[in-house]
Amino acid sequence: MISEVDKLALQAAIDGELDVAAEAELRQRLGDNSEASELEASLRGLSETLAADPEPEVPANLESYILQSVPLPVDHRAKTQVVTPLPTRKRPEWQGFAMAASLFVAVILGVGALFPDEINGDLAGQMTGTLLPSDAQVLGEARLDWQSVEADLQLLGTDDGDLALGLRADADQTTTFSFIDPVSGQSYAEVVVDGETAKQLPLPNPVSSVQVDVFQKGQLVHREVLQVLDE
Amino acid sequence: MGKEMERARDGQLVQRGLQGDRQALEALVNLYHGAIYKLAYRMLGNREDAADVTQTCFLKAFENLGSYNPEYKFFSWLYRIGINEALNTRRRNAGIEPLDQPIPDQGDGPELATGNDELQTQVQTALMQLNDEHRAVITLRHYSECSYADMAVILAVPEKTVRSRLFEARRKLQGVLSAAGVER
Repeated sequence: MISEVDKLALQAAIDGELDVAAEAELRQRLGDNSEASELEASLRGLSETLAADPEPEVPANLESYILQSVPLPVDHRAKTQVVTPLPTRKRPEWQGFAMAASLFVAVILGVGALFPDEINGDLAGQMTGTLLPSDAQVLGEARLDWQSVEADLQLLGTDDGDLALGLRADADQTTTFSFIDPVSGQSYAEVVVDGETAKQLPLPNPVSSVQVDVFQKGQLVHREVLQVLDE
Repeated sequence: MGKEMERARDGQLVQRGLQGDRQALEALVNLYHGAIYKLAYRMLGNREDAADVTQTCFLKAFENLGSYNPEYKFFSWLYRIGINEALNTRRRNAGIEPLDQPIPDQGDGPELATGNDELQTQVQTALMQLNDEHRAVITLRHYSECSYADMAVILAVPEKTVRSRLFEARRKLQGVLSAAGVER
């Protein structure tokens, strides 16, 4: 009868966990011991059975499911983004503005130039409780597309100098958008989105930049700064 | 790719992830979600639970990425989270399904509906009749191809415990498979 120690050593040899010298010494010691031979055959048979067992198929959409549901950390370098202030003006010359959206992994998601003829009223007309008249001009636009969150943002203005941010968002889980002044930290507005939402949010005039923080389940999952630039 | 290169690659991805590089974390999900899913499936015998465990595993890993010790392999750390989460799920399910009974697969997903279905079902049913410790060592050794040293790290037990536990687990699994008429 072989010892428990030798049984474990034989198992380790079959698993490739013994070095050559140790295995040679073990096999020399066991010789043609029938119990050892039976044990080895049994262990190898089990390994063959399990090796023949097909692997479970990984669901094709599992990776995207994980990526959509796991909040990935925001790039902390976003906090150091330099915002170029605009000169103060009482009556903005809208045609001179554009809104640029920068994603802080240094990938530009989209830069909205001024296309008032194409998009004027597109968003404002769909909003309830709008602050600005529906013929307010679209001064710039940006798109935020992050995992399960999609948002179209428009900078809206009137000739009287009123400014607003138009938000149209779609999120498949409760998502909070927080709009703040990245320089002073002053909160402009906060919007909770669950499904499709369209809102207008008042902005001070002038405004040089708007930081958009996106929260899900109480966690900051995305940050983006919309910068109002002089063309 | 060699194991040392994999280790270096994973270490770099983790470092980039800690700096907020989302692409690095997405790469880790891409590299390991399949392995974690299979591990969880073997531990639980249920596709839906395995998917949930995989998701939670990455959620916890990324939440605690700062506590990852680069002296250890990333996959060992991730597997440990996966095993623990699978055991937590198993315990939660204990109130719903009898512990000593195999958990049947729910639904007719592709992995149990095609090919060598019968063998897979028999082996999985046999695995579910082992206790959690034995099922874990069998899974890590035979399906995840972990070394004894890796298993010791993942299970937080000495290597000699891995050897004895694996031997006992194999003995019991052979008994269950033989009783079910599954032999080679």
